[in-house]
Formats: sequence, structure tokens, C-alpha cells
Amino acid sequence: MLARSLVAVLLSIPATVALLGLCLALLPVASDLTLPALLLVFPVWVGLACASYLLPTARVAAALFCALTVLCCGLIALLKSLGLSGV
Amino acid sequence: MKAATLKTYLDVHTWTGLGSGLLLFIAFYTGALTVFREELDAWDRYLEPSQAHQDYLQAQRLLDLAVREHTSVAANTVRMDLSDADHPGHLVRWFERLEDGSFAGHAFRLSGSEELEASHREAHLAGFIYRLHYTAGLPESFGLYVLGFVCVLYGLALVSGLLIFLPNAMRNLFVVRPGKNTKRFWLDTHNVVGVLSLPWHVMYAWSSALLAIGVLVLAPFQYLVYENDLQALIGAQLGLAAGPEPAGEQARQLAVADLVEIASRELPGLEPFQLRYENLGDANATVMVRGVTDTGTLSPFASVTLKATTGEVLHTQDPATAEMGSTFYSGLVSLHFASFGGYLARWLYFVLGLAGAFLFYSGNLLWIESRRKRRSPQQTGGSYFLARLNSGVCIGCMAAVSAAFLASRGFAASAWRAEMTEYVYFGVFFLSIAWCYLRPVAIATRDLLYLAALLSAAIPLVDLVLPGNSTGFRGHAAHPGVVIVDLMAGVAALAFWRMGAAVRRRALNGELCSVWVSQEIGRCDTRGREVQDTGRMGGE
Repeated sequence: MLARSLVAVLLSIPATVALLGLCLALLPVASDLTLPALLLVFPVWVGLACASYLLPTARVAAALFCALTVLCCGLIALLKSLGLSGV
Repeated sequence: MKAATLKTYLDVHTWTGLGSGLLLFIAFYTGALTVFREELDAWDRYLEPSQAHQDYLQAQRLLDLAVREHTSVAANTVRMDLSDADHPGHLVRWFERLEDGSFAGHAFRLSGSEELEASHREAHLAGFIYRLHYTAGLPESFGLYVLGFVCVLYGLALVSGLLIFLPNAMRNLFVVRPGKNTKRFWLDTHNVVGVLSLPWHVMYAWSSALLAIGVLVLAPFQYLVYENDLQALIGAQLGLAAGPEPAGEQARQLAVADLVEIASRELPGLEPFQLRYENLGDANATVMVRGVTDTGTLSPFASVTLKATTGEVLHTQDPATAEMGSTFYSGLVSLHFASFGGYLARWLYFVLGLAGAFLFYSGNLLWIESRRKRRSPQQTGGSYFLARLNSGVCIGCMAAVSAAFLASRGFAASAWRAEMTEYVYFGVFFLSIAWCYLRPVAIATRDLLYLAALLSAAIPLVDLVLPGNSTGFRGHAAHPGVVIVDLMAGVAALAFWRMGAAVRRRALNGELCSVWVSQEIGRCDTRGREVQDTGRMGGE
């Protein structure tokens, strides 16, 4: 449980930032909705951390979070380089 | 939901609760008290000679004196707290950054003879209890951040708790079954309090994490996502509008009265309570006139940012016309601080705060009861450890807060008042924890509850019998804040005494084979009754 909880709470942070960042990059919001969108980081963080407990082991959860983080960061970088980022 | 999933989330709820419960108990108990911060401050200061209300001319004189006598003023953000009915007399304050990177606070008032004198906006007690609320007593340098992460665990505990409860929600929602099955009783009360106040707890988990670690968590977005300056995009909505860079040349600033008048014209209905200067004395100095407005929105706070030399309006933050982002953020902050709804909202928050503290305390009790060995007088080491820690930290905190009240009143005339208040709090707090490890846990818990009762009962008594206090009951009537604090202290004393008596009864006559028993016993049957008398110690 300790390993799973450390993975859930810590590795979900970069995954949350990357996932929410990708959403903001893909779906441009009006400037006055930027702050509310960013403040969703806390519910998304808790949601991802809770959902990770559905995975069978801490290793699987860690791998998934790392993959999600790398994938989302990569997509953000790609969108920016192509000039398609909404922010 | 599958049984295995339910078991997983039960474990998540248990461990996040155990991991965060004690710190959150302190945060919620002191937070409940902090709802009445103005009343606490009034109680703490009511023996001090009161200041007279001061006008804007005197505010200007105070500012001029501070600038003339302290060179550190111009380089730092300077706040002028304006005189009002609750805090008569202006106060100018700022933090000076020292060479070693630390900060030194300065605060000055205008004396009766209109000279500069060192002072504080509020007596120490209210500020100390508020600091306990957002640090749980940890050092301020990192306590806020620890509590911020604890709030994320709190969020996990809420979600997992809800998932556990949902399968039987309709059947168990309003059920509380007192009786011999102690575990079921604690579970029922924990569920009822938790589920019925769930929306409030969700708001608190979210807003607390935002206030504590929001900046840390939002910072990565600046580098990962936003090519433009994120602060420029949302800074104004967070009340952090960046002003012009300092020009490096001195220029005459508009008078306080003029600045307030310009702000009031820009935002009709604004009742200013603070002026916040940046680069005071510089040609590009700015001043934010902060106040409250009656717009019927959740957040009453508004501000007008002006150029201090010309009065040019740079930015206006009006809750009635604010952008969505500002409304959302300030709304969440207002919900956190109960900045709406007057006394009704504050009493509701007070009750919910104490109920929240009960939630964490009862969660730990539930864990202990869940692991009770019903046929053995000797319980697990973990049960004893948590029982001692739970009693020591939670009841110790409550006793220590009452002791802090008494210390603040007792050392009112001392230059060491602030320090002694804190020493007494931490002394009683840590001694309480130590007491729980030195004595049988049931006896120590009883002792701490009685101690909390005596200390709380002493609070109103001190007000009436302290030498030099000749106001007595008539004086109380003139200070409603004092009356509220004394009445609540009396109610708390009664509650603590009754809880202590209940713990004593349980220790003597309750189910055996438990950490909460005080007698030495032999083997127990399945109902926790002693079946072999091995030489009862008897009594306490």
C-alpha cells in the first residue's frame, strides 16, 4: 500500500500537469476561463491518484503515469512546434 | 462495485486518513476558532487602552513619519491598514528583506501625540491560532506546504470514503446505532458527519490546497504550456496585477485622502480598509486601494490600483463585473474564509469545523476499534500507539489552545507576551502527548479531557477576577466579542468535562479487552467479559 500510495500521490502530479496542459493546448479557452481551467488541477490530481488504485500493482501504475506524462508532453511540444497550440 | 475494489479503497481511505488525520484535526479545530478571529482579537485586546478613530490626515502623517524615519520603507510593499470601528487607529506595516534573505517585520501607529510608535495590528493570540490553522504548529517556512500536500491526501480520503459508502448509502445514510458495539457506533457517526458535510469538505480540500500550494502546482504550466507570461494572463485575476517598474527618481505622491477619493469615485460603494503601496516615493509608485463592496456576490472584496503620483486608474477589481476567472478564484477563497453571510455563515462554519475535527478523531478511533482483540486483554502495539497519539495530539491540542488563551491574558503586560503564549501552547501540547505515553491510555485521555475542561473554564473566570479588571459583567456587555469567547469557553469546558466522565466510565465499566480499559484483567470471552479473575487492580 505504501508503494502504491507514493506512486499515486507523487507520479500523478506530472501526469496531471501534462494531461491538463495538453487539454489547454488542444482546446483554446477564452482568457477569462484560463484560471478556472488551471484550478481544475487539484480535482484532476485527486481523480488520477484515486483511479491509479484500480491498477493491479504499483509498477503498472508508475509505468502508466510515466507514459501518460511523456506522451502528453510530447504532444504539447509537437503542437507548439507546428504552431497549432491554442495557447 | 467488486469486493476487491471496495477493499482497496477501504485501505486507501484508512491510510490517507491515518496519514493526514492528526494534522487535519489541528487545522480544523483551530480553523473553527479562527472563524471568530475578530472576536478572539477583541477578547485578547480588551484590557488594553483603546485607541481613538483617526482620519485620513493622520494616515498621511503616519505614512510620512514612517518614510522619514525608516529607509527600508521605499524598497518594500507597504500596507496602510485604515482605522475602523473594530481596529481604531491606522497601522502602517511592511516586511524588510535582510541581507541574509530573511525578513524583518515593521509595524507602526500614530500615538496620541501624533508621533511614530511601534505596534501590531492585532494582539498575538488570534494570529497565532490562525497560524496553527495553516501550519498545524509546524515551522512556518514549510508548514504551509506540508498542509497543502496533506489536503491532497484529504481529497483522496474523501473520494475513497465516498466510494466505500456508496454501495450502502441509502440504507445507512442517517443511521446511528449507539450500544455495545462501539465500532459500529463510531462508524455510523463517522459516516453521518462525513457524508452530510461532504460538499463542504470537498470545497475545503480544494480551496486549502489552492491557497497552500497553488503557486507551486501552477508554476509548471508556465514552462510546459504557456509561451506568454502566465502571470500576465491570470495575475490580475489573482489580485497580482504587476505595476510599472520603478523609475529610479523620487516624486511627490498624492495624499491618502485624495487616493481614497479617486478610488471611491472609480468604484462607488467601496469601503476602503487598506492601501497597499509599491515603490513608495518613486515616480512610478502604485497604490492599491482595497476595500469591501456590497454587491451581493460571494466575494465582497474589491480594489482600485492607482498611480500614486497622478491618481491615474491602472486596474479595477470589482466583484460585480469581474471576469470569470477572478469570480471563480475569489469565490473559492470567500467560501474558504466564510467572507459572506454574516454571523449565520460563521456559526455554520464553526459547527462544521468542529464536526470536521471530530471526523478525523473518530476515524482514528474506528481504526483502533476495528483491530480490537476481543478475546485478549492485551491489544496490538499499533492500537496502543495510535490511541496514545490520537489522544495526545487531538485532546492535547484543544487543551493547549485553552492554555494559550490564559497565557495571553496572564502575560498581557509582559514584553514577552507573544513568545510566552507560544511556549505555553507547545509546552502543554507536547506534555499532553508525553502524558499519554507515560500513563495507561484510558487514564491519560481522561486526564487530558479534564485538563482541557479546567483550562477552558478558567478563560471566562480570568476575565472577571483578574486584578486590575474592574469592568466585571458591565464591561463584558460593552464588548460583545468578549462575551462570545467567554460563553463558548464555558460551553467547551462543560463538553470536555462530560467527555472526560464518559472516558472514565468506559475505563471502569466498559467492555474489557480494549485499549480503553484501565483495569488489569484475565482472559475475555467473545463479548469482552472477563472469564478468569487474575487479580484485578481495581479503580484508578
